[in-house]
Amino acid sequence: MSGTIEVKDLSITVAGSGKRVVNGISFGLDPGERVGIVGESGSGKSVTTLALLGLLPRSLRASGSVRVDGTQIVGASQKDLLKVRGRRMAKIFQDPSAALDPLTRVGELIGEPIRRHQGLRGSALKSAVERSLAEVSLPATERVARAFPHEISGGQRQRVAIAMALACRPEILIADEPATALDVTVQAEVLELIRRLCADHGMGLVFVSHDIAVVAHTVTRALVMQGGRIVERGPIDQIVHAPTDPYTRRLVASARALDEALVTGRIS
Amino acid sequence: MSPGVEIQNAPEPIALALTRRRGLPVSVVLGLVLLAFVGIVGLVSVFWLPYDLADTTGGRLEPPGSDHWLGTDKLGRDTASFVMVGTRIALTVGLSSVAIAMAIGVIVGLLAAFATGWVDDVQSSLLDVVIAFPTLLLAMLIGAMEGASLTSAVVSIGLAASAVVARLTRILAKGLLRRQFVTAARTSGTSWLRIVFTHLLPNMWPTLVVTTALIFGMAVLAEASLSYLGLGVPPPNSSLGRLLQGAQSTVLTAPWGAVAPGVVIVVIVLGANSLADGLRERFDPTRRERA
Repeated sequence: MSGTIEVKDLSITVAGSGKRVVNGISFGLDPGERVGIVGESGSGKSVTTLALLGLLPRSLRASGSVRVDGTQIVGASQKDLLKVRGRRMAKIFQDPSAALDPLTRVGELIGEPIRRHQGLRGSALKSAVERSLAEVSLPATERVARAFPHEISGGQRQRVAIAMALACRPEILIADEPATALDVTVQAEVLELIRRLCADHGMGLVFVSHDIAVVAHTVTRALVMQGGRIVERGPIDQIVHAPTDPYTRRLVASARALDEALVTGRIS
Repeated sequence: MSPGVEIQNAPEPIALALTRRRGLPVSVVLGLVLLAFVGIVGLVSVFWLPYDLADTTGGRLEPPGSDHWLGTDKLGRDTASFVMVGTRIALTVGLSSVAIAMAIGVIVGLLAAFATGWVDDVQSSLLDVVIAFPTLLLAMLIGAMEGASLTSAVVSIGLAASAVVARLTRILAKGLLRRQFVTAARTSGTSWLRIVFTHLLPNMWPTLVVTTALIFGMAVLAEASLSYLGLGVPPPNSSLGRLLQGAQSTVLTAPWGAVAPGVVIVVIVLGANSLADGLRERFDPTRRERA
């Protein structure tokens, strides 16, 4: 039972108006599996990942069931949530510069969760931070550890964010558009890094993106969301090569058109 | 701090020298120098005064000279001694009321930042009412009820200022709580208390420092106003405001009696504001220029 997510009939409504942003979705994640959630803006994919962590803003209400390793997240107490977050599940965000405290040095950002979850201090903590930096292919030097987030590049910032998320060896990583805010060349590197880390640690991955091409490169199975519902699900090969839902078909077709444009120089 | 042009052997003003060596902004050094000056004056007054405050052996309204550095007042008392003690009282009231204001204000503001719904509405309106209530009026009320004393001045000024700090803290914390790095911290299982200390306070600190200094200056001014009105620290102690009030009738014939305490007030307020301004630039890494 380690590293599983079980979502049953999850709905998310806006507190005041009762508008449904997520409408009774169900899905699961097996240990070490990589699942993608694809959909346009407003399809409910991001709030779904927030609900997985019990992090919905106060204006949104969740109903239904979200179980992480058997622990119910919907309606859980702060105390129970703290046990799940970081240890079992960690998240990386779209914009790494917003997700890193601008006044905290890189070494402290990574060191804080390590210290809290593994209880390391002093030189043991320092070498753990260095290992974390090396793991995400950042130079494990004093210069990087002492840098403030604004002093390193966007790609390096996302690597720091990933190192922070991995610091406590979570069983599941939730990545919400982790490469969207990055340069295309850096995007590929970061995606490769995420894939490698998942394989190395046998870590499950919930990967959210609007870009079906990026998702296809990263996951084994995917859900397609539109308007708060799951419109299609299955192995990623099947979704890319034989989409059944009209929305998925359009999504795949437009991605293909862009791919072709790279070769032919024209959009069909 | 450009390399290349090095003036050898030229004597540097101390402020510039410190700026170059330690990378401190000029305003920090200026503020420190001004506050250190009044601080030393206040400290010295504890141990030594040119004349006892009750000593009336000087001539009436003597001009500044070697016997009486700042002249004497109508009763032949030494103005310098009174200004020194007044400086100490002003600094004491300033520091104590700032300590009260920050302690209460930051805690109330942080609690308020986490409040939602009607609790949030009620407490923010309450803060507005307290802020709208004039500091001096509050001080007069407390002074009238408890009798004017050092404590009543400190408490009333501190309480009035704590509302300002609380409102500022609440706004700053609310803004920071919406930032993604707070969500990111919560995602990795950080408790709210820990977030307050590692993310909220460090990010609020530059603004709070500036406010601390502004409040310190405001508190010194408020104490002077109170004692000018006769509601501050009572005799036989001295107070800058009461000195101003006492010298008022002779300001044309013996201006030094009013100028001396006035200059001290200006020096304290200017020093505090200058220090705060410089510290904000020094401690905000996103604003600091890197060599």
